[in-house]
Amino acid sequence: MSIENSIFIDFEELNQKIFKLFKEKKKSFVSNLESLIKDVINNVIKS
Amino acid sequence: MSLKVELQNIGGLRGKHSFSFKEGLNMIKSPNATGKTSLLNALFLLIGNEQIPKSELEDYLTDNEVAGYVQLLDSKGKKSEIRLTRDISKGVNLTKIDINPDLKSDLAYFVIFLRDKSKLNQGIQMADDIMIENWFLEMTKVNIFHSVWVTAQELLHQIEINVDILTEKQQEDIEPIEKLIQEKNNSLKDNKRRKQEIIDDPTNQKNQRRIKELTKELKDLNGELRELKYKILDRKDKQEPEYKKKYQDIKTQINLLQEELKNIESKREVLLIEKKEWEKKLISKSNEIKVIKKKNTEQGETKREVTNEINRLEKLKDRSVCPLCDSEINKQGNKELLEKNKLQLKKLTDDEVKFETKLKTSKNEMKIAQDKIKEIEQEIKYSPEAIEDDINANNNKLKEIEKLLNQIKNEELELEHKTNKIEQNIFTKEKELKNCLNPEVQEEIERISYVISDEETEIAHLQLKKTSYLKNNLELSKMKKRLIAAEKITSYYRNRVETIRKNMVKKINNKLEKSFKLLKLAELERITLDPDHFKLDIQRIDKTYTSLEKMSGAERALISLIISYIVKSTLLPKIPIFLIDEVTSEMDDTRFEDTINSISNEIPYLIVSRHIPFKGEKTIISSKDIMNNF
Repeated sequence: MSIENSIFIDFEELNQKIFKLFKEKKKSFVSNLESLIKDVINNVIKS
Repeated sequence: MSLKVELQNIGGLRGKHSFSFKEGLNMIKSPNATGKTSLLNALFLLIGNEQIPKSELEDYLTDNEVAGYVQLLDSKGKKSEIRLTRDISKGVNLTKIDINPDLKSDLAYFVIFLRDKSKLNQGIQMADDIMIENWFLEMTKVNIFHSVWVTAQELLHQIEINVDILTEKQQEDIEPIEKLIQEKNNSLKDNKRRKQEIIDDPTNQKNQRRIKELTKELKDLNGELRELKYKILDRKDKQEPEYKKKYQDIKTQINLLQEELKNIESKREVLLIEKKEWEKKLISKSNEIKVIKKKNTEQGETKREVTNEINRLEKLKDRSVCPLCDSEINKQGNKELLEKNKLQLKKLTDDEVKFETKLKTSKNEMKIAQDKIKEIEQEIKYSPEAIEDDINANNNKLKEIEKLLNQIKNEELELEHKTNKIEQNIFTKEKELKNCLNPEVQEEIERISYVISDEETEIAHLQLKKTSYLKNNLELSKMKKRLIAAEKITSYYRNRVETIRKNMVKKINNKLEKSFKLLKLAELERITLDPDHFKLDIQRIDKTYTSLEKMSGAERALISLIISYIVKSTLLPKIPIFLIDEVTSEMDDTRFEDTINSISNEIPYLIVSRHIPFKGEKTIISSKDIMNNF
């Protein structure tokens, strides 16, 4: 399996997290969004 | 059905003012500087304040006033109110006192405010691509996905820079090795060529036919040798490390499980000790209860006896002779005895209450101890068997990997054995080949062969070093994984935004195609929005194409109005309030009236301001000036 195929991102889950973040932290959405995406990217290494 | 508005100190409207808007078209007709725009600004402050930057709030509060407000009562009687206050250091602040959530969700995003006449006059079209794109971005979902896309793209750029830096660093480290390999390869080629030249030289040969045979055989053997060496390298360099890594991972897993098992077992020990303590407590409490109960029974007996004695003494209290034995009664003595018994009874009753309380406390404590014991038993019940099963399964996997590693080792040995045999064969054949040459060149051939062999070994080592270097560069491989993840996220959200946008444009174009009446008013055949560049393709009634820049002010205003209305009414389920401020002043009355009438059929509240020439008499806006159906 190539590296590309071995990296899986659950976009359904990510979208839910993003919408939750948007609802709960509207004012600091962009900075929180950056942390969330960084986490998703870094989790790829752990998995 | 009406909207009632009350405001104070908004723009040109100094002091308090009240207005009401009826359902349908509302025209505000008055000369310049009478407060038309201020009234529309007041409405916009209330329903579209999220679109107003803080720096622009200054324009909304009347000059030299410290506070102002706008109140709106909708048709259902729900109130909304905002206040503006001026602070010397912080400027003008907006406070939402009371925002009807229905109004906010229904109106705030769904308002169109065609208010920038100056921009139109400067030739910057209300319906230009940026404006349309901004409208799309106002839509929450596009906004969110767009934010994710932009954020992911920024992260992607950062990661790309890191990958470049790491790749460059790796290249710097590998470059000397590659250079050395290249040099060795060149030298090897030269030596091989030199050796072949000596062998091929007929003056050096004793037996030409045999040399030909041996050269061919040696070529085949060398090919076979290369293949075998490759197979050995594959096992040593690829398969073995792969299985060793797996082996190590499983070992780590087993260690973790054993750790967990230990934890569970030690916890179990602690729990057992704890359980014993609670059991002791339970027994002691149970004994305590028994003692209390026993004491209580004894006290009860005494209490009964004392009560009987009191009763007896009470009966004799007024008598001087005993009714049973006719003996004389010591009244004073009886009285003292009665008092003494009464005191004892009181003490016994108090003790009884104390016993009850003590009993209750002990019973509670006993219950706690029982519950705790149950709780601990429940926890102890959780057996470490599942973990042991996992450990066993992993141990089995380890054994399988060990077996595979052994198999690989055996294969390696077998291959090495074959390699040795072939090398031996090559050695013999080369010796024979050498003997087929003249004795004076044999020594030279031998020397070159040694050099070739050394160089081949050195090249193989260098290649191995390079491969392991590439593999061990974990940091770069992690960064590359991050890069792929960031690329996937960026591409996913870019596609989502693009898809939503294209669907919107498709819907807008469908609606534009069906708006014959509005298009006819603008003397146009069709208007379409280009989904890729958000540009307008405009075709006149005579089938010629044109652009907004080439149209007259009135035509631009009309198209802006049509496009604004079509875009919003397509993207949003309904537009409760549509505010149009002055932008239509360049249109002639008939065209203006036709357009407004056409739009007003579909909007609950259409509020339009239109300048009328000043005729010497100043009209101040009040509810009287707001005419229903002009």
